[in-house]
Amino acid sequence: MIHETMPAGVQIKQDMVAAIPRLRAFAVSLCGNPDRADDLVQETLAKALLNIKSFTIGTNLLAWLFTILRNAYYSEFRKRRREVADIDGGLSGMLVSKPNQDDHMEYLDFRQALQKLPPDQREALILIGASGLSYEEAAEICKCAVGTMKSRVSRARTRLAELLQYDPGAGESHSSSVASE
Amino acid sequence: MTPTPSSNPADDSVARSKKRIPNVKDHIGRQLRALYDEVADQPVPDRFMELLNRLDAKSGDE
Repeated sequence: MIHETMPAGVQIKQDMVAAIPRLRAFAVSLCGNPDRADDLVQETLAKALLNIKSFTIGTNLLAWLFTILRNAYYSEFRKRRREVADIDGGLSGMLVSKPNQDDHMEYLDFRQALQKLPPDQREALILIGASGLSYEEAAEICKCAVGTMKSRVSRARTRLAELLQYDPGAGESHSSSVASE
Repeated sequence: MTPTPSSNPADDSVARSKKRIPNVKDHIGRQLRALYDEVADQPVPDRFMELLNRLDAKSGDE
């Protein structure tokens, strides 16, 4: 057989490199601070390499990495709950696009509101609404039932709409869930 | 039923205090992806490549 297969380790490492942008995006959305986010990613990669034997080849590497990252986030979160995310100052260095003043204001408001959500709702919303994972994958990462994941996402949207004072207007089919307390 | 555009700049704060968003779910989704994609589209910082190479060399052929 001339067919050349890459050693599994090389393949995993390449997949890991490919996952880094999404890990960073998940981390920064989760913690709201780019420096902390990159520390979380660094910790995640180090732990992943250390425990690479516990990863089953052929399964979802991204989900596995997300699981490690969120565990790192929560253990740190418990350790230093007092710390307030430096949203405006911290993110401005990492997030550079400023489309126009009004949109930018709304964008800042949105990021602040996102950080005000309970962490379980925030991560649910990010996993489903931004990272493009399925409810099943997200539930596996968060070690909860699919139904729980769905209700967290729904509550996250409702809470965000309240915080940002979104008015869905009359006649919206889902306005009741958004408007209700 | 579009709100009349305000001629008075002072009204902006009022307009902002309650925003008419016809589809809240889609609107939140767009904002969320803007935040996420802005980071996800950036190149991988050197520190991570260095970390992977360093740890890789260490664990080498076991």
